[in-house]
Amino acid sequence: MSFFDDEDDDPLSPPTRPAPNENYGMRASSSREGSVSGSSSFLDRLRSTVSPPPAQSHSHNERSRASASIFDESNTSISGREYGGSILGEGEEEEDGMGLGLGLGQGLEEEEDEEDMNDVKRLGKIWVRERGTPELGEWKGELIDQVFDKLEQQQKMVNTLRSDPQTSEEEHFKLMLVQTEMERVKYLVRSYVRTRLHKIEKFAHHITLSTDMHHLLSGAELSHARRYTELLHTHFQHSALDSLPEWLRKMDDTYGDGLSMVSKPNRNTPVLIYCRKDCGEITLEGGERAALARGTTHLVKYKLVDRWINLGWAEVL
Amino acid sequence: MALPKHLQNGLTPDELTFLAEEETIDIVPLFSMTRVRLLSGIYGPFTPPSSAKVPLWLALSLKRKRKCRIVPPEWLSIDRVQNVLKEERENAESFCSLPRRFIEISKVLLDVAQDDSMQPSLLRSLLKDLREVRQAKIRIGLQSEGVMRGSYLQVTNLTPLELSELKPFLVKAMGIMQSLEPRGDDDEDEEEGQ
Amino acid sequence: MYGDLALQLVTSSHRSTLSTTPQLPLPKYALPLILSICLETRQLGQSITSAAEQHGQVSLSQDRSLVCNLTVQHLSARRNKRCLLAYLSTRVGGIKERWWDSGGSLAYLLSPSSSSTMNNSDPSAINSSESESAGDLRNNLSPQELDFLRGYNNLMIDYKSDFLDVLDLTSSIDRPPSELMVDVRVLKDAGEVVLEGGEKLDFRKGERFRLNRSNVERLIVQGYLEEV
Repeated sequence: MSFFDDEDDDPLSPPTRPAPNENYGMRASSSREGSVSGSSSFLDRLRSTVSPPPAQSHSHNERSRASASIFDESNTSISGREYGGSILGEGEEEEDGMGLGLGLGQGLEEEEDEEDMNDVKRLGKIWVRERGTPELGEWKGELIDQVFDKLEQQQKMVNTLRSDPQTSEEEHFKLMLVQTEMERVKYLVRSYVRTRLHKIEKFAHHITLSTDMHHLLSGAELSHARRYTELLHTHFQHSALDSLPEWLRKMDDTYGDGLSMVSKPNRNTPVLIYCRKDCGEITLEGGERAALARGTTHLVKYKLVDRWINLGWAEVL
Repeated sequence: MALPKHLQNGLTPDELTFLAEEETIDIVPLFSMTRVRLLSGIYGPFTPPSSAKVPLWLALSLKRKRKCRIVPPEWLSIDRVQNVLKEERENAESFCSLPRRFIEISKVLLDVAQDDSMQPSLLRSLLKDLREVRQAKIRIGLQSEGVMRGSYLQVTNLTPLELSELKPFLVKAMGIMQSLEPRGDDDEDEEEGQ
Repeated sequence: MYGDLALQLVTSSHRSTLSTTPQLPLPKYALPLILSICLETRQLGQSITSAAEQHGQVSLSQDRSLVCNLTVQHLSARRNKRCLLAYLSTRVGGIKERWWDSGGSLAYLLSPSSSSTMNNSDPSAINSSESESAGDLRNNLSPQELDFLRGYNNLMIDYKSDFLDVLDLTSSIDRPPSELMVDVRVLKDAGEVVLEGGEKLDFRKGERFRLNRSNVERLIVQGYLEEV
């Protein structure tokens, strides 16, 4: 919650930092006040936040990881005969390995584990997933809170240091970098939240009725779903339904063709997935089977792979 | 709408490039600066001529201000790309495995930092060839019979950017295929899916 | 024929959604057509009720033509309802789209030509001044749709307030951000605008500025500034 708290769980930060306790006061001091009257030690600490002291060891644990070349020869050729359609190699071919000895590494980040990822990468992941699936994913409140705390702290730091006459050229430059990144992160959060909002409004009635889905939403989202449903229904009633015979005023009919007024996500929507692990076989319509081997990519109906997506074995692209 | 219409079909090339910009890359700074703490990590110190590892967006930002030289990733060397292109041409049955953000990263690097790569025009034309060979294979692949069977397609080794270009068409085609399938199937599957 | 009017309603509505770029103005609310459809539906309802009352349970199961008659009327009524809601729902989509496109500014939406009272920090303020261009959107919405728009605006003010300390949800997500600073040209006078840091700027047509993108995003969205 304080300026420095987050450093403790930041794997990249050096382990020795000033005691975080008295920092609560700083949070209260709003940016503008703080800029004028901040004590020098306070400013010093702000400075060391943007310019961390040299670390004892290498601060880039990514360095070693990234050196594993994407083209190295550690290729496990992808077995598993493709059924259904494959964009190339119809399965009738005797072609055995799909890999070309160019390495399985489809992505630079692909060997990266969830824990190793920084918050920004994590945010990117959940954003991609939310964009790529028809159903609403779980609200990642913890991550969002964490990111928000950091953004807030950074904003205060930027405001304070930017208006401090003693801030050096180099620090101003760093602040510019900090702000550039902040805009990137804010954009990600915005797009993530709005992608969810889009789905929530689209399926508001369904969500409101399905209590088993409520754990997927934040409190604010759930309340938005409820209020939006009400707003929409009121609008429909006042615009048309109230002028119709009583028996035609309901909002949850099902039509003769099986279409319900309560729209639900279409679980038949195809999704793009990359298998991080071997996800076994799926049965396609018509009884054919397709292997979801590690390292392969598929365009497949969401409902056939949602559990692998939820487990994190299959990554949405 | 909360999500603008042009974003509703999936990630756009701009958005994929944005993601690619979070990948790290080596730079040789042309200025000195102590370490800087950002949300995604601590970067630096920047002391020429030692290299530093930074996110691509940071590298590009510095490059635009002429404050660094970007070291192109190994896979973006003429040799490597030539090899991949050769493989790609020889193998008609599948696609070469490329780094996930291959197209995006190579494009921004050639746009912003072309003076940092050897023979940028040769590289550019190799990349163009590679992209075209792959696109041709995609077209051929999509023409083969039964490719849309069962609303499923294996697309291994195509990069997300290539897939994002295909996806709207494929999803639409699959939707049409599905509406042609006998009804009743759906409800059954829905049960199974729960 | 039953349902003709409803068909007319949905086809025109469908046509208006076909062209997405450039975005066409929302068509005028089809009040006369909607009233006629509602009337037709009520008549169908009455006809069904009286037919059912005249013939008892007994004859219903025996008189096949009556059953057929009732079924057709019933389905026609239901279909009318479906078409009405499809129409309304498509328009709701259009209304929300415009709300988001405007950066969540109800004032801007309802009187796009009045710039003097535009306040960057309070987009929710409803502008009471008479709009010069007779407020295109306002004129094309039904009173119920205006209520919906205001209601939606209120919902969103509540929803985005949780985020407001850190970010404005209604800022554009059309394109990812690139550089922090952006060069802009003023396309029409925007008057004095208070920027994030408390700085005041007077935007006059033709002038150029180099500014923090997040500061002027809204003005770009609303067409006061143009990126160069």
